[in-house]
Amino acid sequence: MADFGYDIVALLPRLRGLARTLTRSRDAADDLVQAACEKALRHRESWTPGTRLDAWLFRIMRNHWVDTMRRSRPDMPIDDGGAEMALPTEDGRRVVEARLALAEVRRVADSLPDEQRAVLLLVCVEDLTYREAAEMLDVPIGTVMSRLARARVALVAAMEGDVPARAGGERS
Amino acid sequence: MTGKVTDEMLMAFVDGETDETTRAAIERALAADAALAARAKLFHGSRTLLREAFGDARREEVPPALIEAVLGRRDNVVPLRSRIRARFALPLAASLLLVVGGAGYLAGRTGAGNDDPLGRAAIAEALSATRSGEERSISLAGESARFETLATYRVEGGICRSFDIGGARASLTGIGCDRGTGWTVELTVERSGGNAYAPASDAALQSVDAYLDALGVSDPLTADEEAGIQGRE
Repeated sequence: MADFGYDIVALLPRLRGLARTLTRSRDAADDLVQAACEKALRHRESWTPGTRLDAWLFRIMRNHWVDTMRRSRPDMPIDDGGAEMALPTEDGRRVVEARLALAEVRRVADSLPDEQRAVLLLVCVEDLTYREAAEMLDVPIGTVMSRLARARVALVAAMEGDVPARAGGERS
Repeated sequence: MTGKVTDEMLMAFVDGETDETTRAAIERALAADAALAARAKLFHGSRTLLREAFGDARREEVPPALIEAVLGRRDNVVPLRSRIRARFALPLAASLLLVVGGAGYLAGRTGAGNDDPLGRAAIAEALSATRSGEERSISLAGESARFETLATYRVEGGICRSFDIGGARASLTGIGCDRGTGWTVELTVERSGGNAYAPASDAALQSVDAYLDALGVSDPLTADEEAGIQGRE
């Protein structure tokens, strides 16, 4: 049992990454990690040895996030509707690929609804499989896939709209 | 396969989440349809972009306050800050000190003045100057101590070394890394008091092992591999 704290410490870099899939600021993510770790230590007997500690901690983080922090934020639209996205153009794709406007990627991803953003980052940044993401978020795998596809199309489409053409010079 | 390849199918294909049959069918569809192939590339590209935009959390140093929050819950560990100051005054035999270092500790400081009670600057310097298995003498808190680099690991963005320090009053083991911006001490664990040749405690070794696991390292580099890296620097 004495090792439990060290096991969690070893996971902290990963937990911080996972927390950022939920929050839009680093400070909020670290607050969330800390709250989850404290809760985990209080309820360590409810973790089943042999199962994934990071997944267990993520679920604690997520529940805490839903229960407390998110309550203080304005509601984000939950977009699970079937709105059809326009096909990004070939020219836009080249611009996106040529210019890694990373700050812009972050801004666009952060503007997505919570549900899309979380699954987007869990899969694309934290390298979870669809099934792992579904388990962590407690949604069906089909929901993970529809949110993920929509988020990625939205990301690329938004990047195109915002990235000036090469000849266009400075961004305002 | 008949029918349209949906975005979700295309995305699952790009992410390696389709079964063999679907994979083969989508490959055929992609070969026949340039627009579909372009869209597949978008899905692939979005992952790359996101990884570059957000993928830094695991390379960052964990704030000491977080570590403190986790380990501070243990009854036998007092808050980190007071432990740093009192380090050399404590009865150490059964104690365990875990500190994750900030680069700020190292900036512009050498030697072991009061600002740097753990001698991070001296450790960082020793890390840069030794290879696995090599020893040197360093000055910690005004006293001479034996420093040894134990092993070297390749990590994302650089290399890390595990080290061991035996001094007159205390022994440390830990991890330091160079991720392209110079050596910093990322983890130190006090493993015993007063005997440079005492075996590392289980808890100390487990902390180091757990940290290496968290970094995702595999086996240490061989001497040849290490020399190769050093030679390119």
